[in-house]
Amino acid sequence: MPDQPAAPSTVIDGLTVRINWVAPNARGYQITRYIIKIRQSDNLSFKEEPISCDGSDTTVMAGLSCKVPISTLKTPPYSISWGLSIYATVTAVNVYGLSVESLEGNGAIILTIPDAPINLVNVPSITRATKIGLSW
Amino acid sequence: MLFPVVTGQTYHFKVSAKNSVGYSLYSKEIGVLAA
Repeated sequence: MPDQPAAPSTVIDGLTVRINWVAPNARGYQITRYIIKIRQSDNLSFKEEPISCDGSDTTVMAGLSCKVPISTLKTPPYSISWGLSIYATVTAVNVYGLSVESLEGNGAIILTIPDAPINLVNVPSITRATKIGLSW
Repeated sequence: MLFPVVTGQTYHFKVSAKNSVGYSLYSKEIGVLAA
């Protein structure tokens, strides 16, 4: 079976998070696929994302990377909050079986613009004929 | 922020917040009478 892969990295790429890893030593037999898992909001559980990060896809395997939409990471089962880092692990597979899963790696922090301010109001105790007070 | 206020005029305000990604949508607009 292949060697344990090094921890992958994650990086923001537009509206996606790109997961990158390095191919480990395959120990003589070609790596047939990767298993990429992303950490959920409980900070413990990891889950595959087969739609956008299919480790058996030839493009993913050739590029040693995949792109997961941030919108996917914001929704179940990941449900990751804005401002948090994205963690992932990688396992390599060949005809002999699965490697040891990599340590978890990260890097990308998902961010967005602030919410619109709320409760914008006049402050009567400040507002005068020559001055206006506001709070929000 | 300071700017000249004319007595009897109504001024309209709305607020947006900014972080490292960009600007938020605006808050609801309000009008305030300087009186």
